[in-house]
Amino acid sequence: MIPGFFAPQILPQPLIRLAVIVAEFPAAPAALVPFVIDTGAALTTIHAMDAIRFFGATPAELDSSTWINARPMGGIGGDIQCKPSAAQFGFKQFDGSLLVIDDEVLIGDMKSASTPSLLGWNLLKYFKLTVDGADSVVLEPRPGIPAIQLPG
Amino acid sequence: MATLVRPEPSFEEAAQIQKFWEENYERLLNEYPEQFVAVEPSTGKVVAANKDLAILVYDLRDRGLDARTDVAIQLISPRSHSLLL
Repeated sequence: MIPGFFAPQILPQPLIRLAVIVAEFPAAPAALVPFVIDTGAALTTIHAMDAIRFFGATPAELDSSTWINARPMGGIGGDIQCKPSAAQFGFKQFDGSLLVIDDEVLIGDMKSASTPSLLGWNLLKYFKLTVDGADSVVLEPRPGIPAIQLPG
Repeated sequence: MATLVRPEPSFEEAAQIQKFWEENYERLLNEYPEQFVAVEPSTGKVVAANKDLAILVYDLRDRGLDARTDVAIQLISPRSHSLLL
């Protein structure tokens, strides 16, 4: 069981903090990134403000006009360019242990700076998600989840 | 080598930073609406603010501050509550 949280002063949506290592930022240590849990997002995305504040990316590195592997991504918030990267995600469980999943993350360009990072369906599909109003949010690993468990 | 077991910030530090933003969001909204705000995590002192994140980051750099390690950054915006993701 993995707890999420709410930050009602800042965002009304449910959030979860994940430990993340992003291959695109090899010099950065693992970062603890808050994601909005977004069942409408196909892919997990780290947007520009979080890429800068948690991984030390520079605005120049997030200028998509210099990217050779940019992917256009659309949403209600508008169109942005993203680039994919391999990533490792750590979900901290109630008992302190860490569930680790290797997958992909999209990194948003500078146009994504005002949008929170999103936990999307590529990872949510491995969990049973329970949202109890604005009181609690919990992820429970589903059988067969491709994760390893590290002690806390 | 990066390890998921010891992320930066730690879970405890992240919760403290989150608490600061929540407790001070209304005040900051009055003072820095629609701006990215950088604070010194241990004191909560605002060290820089700008509507443009890139300018904020380069301002921090010019002062010898690292956006990843020396400050916490948050967008302060009333539109956060009307985001459609």
